[in-house]
Parts: sequence; C-alpha cells; structure tokens
Amino acid sequence: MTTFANILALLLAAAALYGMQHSTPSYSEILSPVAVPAAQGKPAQTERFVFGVAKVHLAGQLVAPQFGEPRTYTTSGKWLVVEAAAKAQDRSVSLTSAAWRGPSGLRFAMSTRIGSTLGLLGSERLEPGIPRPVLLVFELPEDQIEGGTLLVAETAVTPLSEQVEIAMDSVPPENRYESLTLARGGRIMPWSLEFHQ
Amino acid sequence: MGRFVNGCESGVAMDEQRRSYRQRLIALAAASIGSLAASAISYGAAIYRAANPEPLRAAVPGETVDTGRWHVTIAGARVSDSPPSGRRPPEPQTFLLVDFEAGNRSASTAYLPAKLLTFAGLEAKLASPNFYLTRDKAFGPSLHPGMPERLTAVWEWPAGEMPPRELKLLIGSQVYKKRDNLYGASNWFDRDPVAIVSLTVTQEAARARQ
Amino acid sequence: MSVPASSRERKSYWISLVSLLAAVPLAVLVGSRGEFAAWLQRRMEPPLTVEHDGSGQGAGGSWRLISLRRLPGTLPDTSLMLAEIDLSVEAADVLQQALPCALSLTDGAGRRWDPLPLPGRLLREADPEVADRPQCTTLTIGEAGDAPLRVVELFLVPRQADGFTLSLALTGSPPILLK
Repeated sequence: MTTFANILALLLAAAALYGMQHSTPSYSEILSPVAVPAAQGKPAQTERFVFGVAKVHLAGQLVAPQFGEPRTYTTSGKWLVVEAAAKAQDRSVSLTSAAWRGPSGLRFAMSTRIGSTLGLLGSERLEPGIPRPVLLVFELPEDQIEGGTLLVAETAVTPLSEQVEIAMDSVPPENRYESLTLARGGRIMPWSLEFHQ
Repeated sequence: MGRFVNGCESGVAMDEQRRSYRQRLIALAAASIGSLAASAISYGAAIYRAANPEPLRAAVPGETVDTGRWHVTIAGARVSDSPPSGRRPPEPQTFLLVDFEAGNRSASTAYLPAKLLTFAGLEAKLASPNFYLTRDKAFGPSLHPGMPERLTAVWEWPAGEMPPRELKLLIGSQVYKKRDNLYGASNWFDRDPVAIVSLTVTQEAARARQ
Repeated sequence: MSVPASSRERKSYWISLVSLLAAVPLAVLVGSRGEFAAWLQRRMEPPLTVEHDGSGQGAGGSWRLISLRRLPGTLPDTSLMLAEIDLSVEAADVLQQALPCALSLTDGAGRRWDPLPLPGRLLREADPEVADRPQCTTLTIGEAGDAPLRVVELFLVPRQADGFTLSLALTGSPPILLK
C-alpha cells in the first residue's frame, strides 16, 4: 500500500511540476507593457497620456513630401493612415511607439519610409493640457487590416509602461482611396490630406 | 544515546555503519542517474552536431532559400560606380551590388541582419552591406511580415581594385529561441550560413557622364 | 528526533526570532555603509523654497528668480512662459558636480511642464534680448567671474493654467522651488 502511495505521490508531483513549468509566463510576457484596452471613437486614458483616433483612411498609394518634393510611395499591401489626437495628463510626455497588431497576431511597426515633417507620432512632445493632432502611417497586407488593434505607448523598450490597445473598426468604403496625398500643413495642423478615389 | 560497552558491540555498530554507507551510496547513485543521463546526452548531442555539421546547400539565383526568419531569393550581382540611391560619391568608388528579394517570416516588423549576405573568403575585406529598397531607393528599410520586398545589398569595394567575375555568396540564417540563455527572453539569433550561391558579377552599362 | 524540546530550547528559539526584527534593519544599515541613512535624511529634507525677490543657496551657487513672464503662445489657447533665473557662482567645483540643472514648471493643479528642448527660434521671436542666454542643458560655468549667469527657459502651457512654481533640480541636492 505504501509503495502505491509513494508512486502516486511521485506521479502527482511530476504532474504538478509539469503544470507549473508550462503555465509560467515567459520573460517577455512578464515585462510586456501594461495594456489599456479601448474602443475607436472614444479617447483612451492612461496615467501619462490620452489618445483618441479621429479618422482612418486606406489607400493603395501614398504621395508624401520628401525633401520638399512630393513623392509617390507604392506598397505590396495597402497604406493605412490614422488621424488621431493625443494629450499629456500631468507631465510632458513623448509618444514614440506605435504598432498595428493584425487579427492573426502579426505586429507591424509604423512605416519608416515617410519623413517625420508631417506631425507623425514621436515628432512632437506632448504637453499637459494641450491636445495635439498626430498622424500614424502603416503599411499592411490586405488580410491584416480587418479586425486589427492599434497599439500606442510612450516607448517600446521600457517594460511595464502603459500601452493603449484600441480595437479598430473596419474602414468604411468612403475612406478607401486609390491614392492619398499628404502635404505639409502649418503649425497648428501639421499635415493636410487630399484624396483621389 | 547508548554507550558502546565493549569491542563486540562496536564491531556490530561498525557493520551497521558500513551497510548504511553502502545503502546511502546506492541511493545517491540511483537519484543522480537522471541528471547524469541528461548531461551525457546533451554533451553527446553537441559533440555529434559539431562533428557532423549540416552541409551548405548550393542554391542558384532565382531559388528561394528558407533561412529561418527570412525567405531570400537572389537575383544577381553587378558592379557599379554609384549606389542605388543614385547619388554619386565625390571620389570615384566601386560598389558591388546584389539584387535579391526577401520576405519576413517572423511575427513582427524587423530589419535585415548584417550577416544575412556575406561573401565566402572575403569577410575580412568587406564591411557590412547597406540595404536599399528597390521600390523607392529607401536606405535601411524594415520589412513587414507577409510583405516581401525587392532589395539591393551594397558593398563598398576597396579603391583601385575590381571585384572578381565569380563570387560565392553565403546566405546566413536566424533561429528563434523562446527563452534565451541570458534573460529567458524571446529573440532571434544569428546562426551559420545555410546556403551558398555562385554568382557571376556583371558590369553595369557605362553611364554617360553629364 | 522527536524528543520534546526543552523549555530552554523553546525560549532561545523565540528570542532568536524576535531579534530578527532588529537584526535585519541593522544589517541593511551596516551593509549600505551609511548610504541608507543618508538617503533617509535626504528624503526628509524639505525642498528649499525661495520667495520672489529672494535668493536661495544650493549646490555651490546662489539662485534667484528674475522673472516669469507670460507671452502669447504659438498654438491657439496656449501661452509661452519665459523664465529667467540668475545664478551666482559660490563654489565652482561643487556647482560643476551638480550641473546640468533641470527646470520644470508646476501649476496650481499639479501639472508639470518640461522646458521646450530647442527654444532658440521661439526666444528670438518672443524676446530677442534673452535669445542668446543659455538654457539649463547648455549652461557652462567657465570663467564667469563675479557676474551672475542668467539661465532662460521657455515652457508651452495652456492659457488657463495659473499659480505657477518653478522647480530647479540639481544633482545631489534637494530641489529649489522658486515662486
């Protein structure tokens, strides 16, 4: 009887160890940013900043200025242009990290091909009490647009900073264009959009 | 806590001690079989892998090579006196360009590793290549998963020499470790080259100077 | 050994456990070689408050708020706050250790603004006289002699923000609040 009890105890211990080993979160999961879920259309509040998506556009081709001259940018997928606004809560803050998480979990960083003179996220520091428009530009494969999530955080490298996760609605047909032109704006609104359907 | 009365009793006690020593030794051996076996197997496997490395696969231009994180298809190599951005350097320089297509197979946007393309035998001579996106000649692009792109890798050739006609290009690989050895964090790590491509270097047609 | 522990053993067990309450803090104190005590002391020091028209000593220098002016802001419904601080060098080496200083503006509601990073162009438009004064990040002591150095910083704040205090942070000394 005691042999049986010993074997049973051994098996139980092995099962417990196996369970613990496979349910321990990995280092990357432990040090991941704190998620603040939000829906599109309402501003998402974190301790350090407030972020809200205003409009989303989808285009097959993008025209943006480079060294003063407009330049056509093509892609094998689609261009997703997000017009948003952000404001700091209590301290000056710089938002530098934005990513798109597709429905299958793929993560897309902001496109680096467009220059930052258009008020792209990270080009301007946010001050408390002063909301500013921010522009985000992504290059995405067609099947990763529907049901995606926009992730915006202060920084991608500091663990445990808050990250806003906005579940994005599908882009309405009137916001889908063949070609989208971005031009430099003024101080108040750093960019201007023109569409060609 | 008895006391040993005479030698006879102490003899028996010594026997008991020796038996218990042997028992303990046997118990120790039985308990350590697991860890000994694990060390032996891992050492043996490492030595075996080092003694029988995977042979380099010979690939041809146009063939897609799976390097773990990237799917690389080499198109061709050429020599030019200006980089793909079109801006000629002030002093005349020779550039070796390799056109290829790369697809990101990982789950997030990434930059091409410097060791993706190296030339066999020329590691000491050439610096790391610069990558240009063929689409708009952008420098140092990041590739998004699911969106393969055509790129050009550019090496600066030492002044005064001409690159040889035949070159062997090594395509490096990257493996994904869910837990690395230092922090237990997930990351991609460079590994040995997996394929070798023999390239014929073509001369770019001479451009008319202004 | 399931022999019941004697009362002497039980007593010494409890005495050891209770003395842990004293031994662990003592170990931390001794192990930090006085740093812990110094940190506690610094935490309990109140920040130095300097009223308007007064000057405060800190980190080898004497600091004085000259002016905190409100100017029309570059964005709608905002103001630019221009702060001018005078610094008289008393102990140059101590001051050198404490630099670079960091100035921040706090309003009555507790919000805090960092200075604008490159205010050169805005300063020239707002007040050309102070345009070539250094900021905290570009301040060098050098051979200033006896004349006080003037530091100028610009902040972008909402127009309704009010009740400002300037907070000057220096390495290794408590912050100086300038009202």
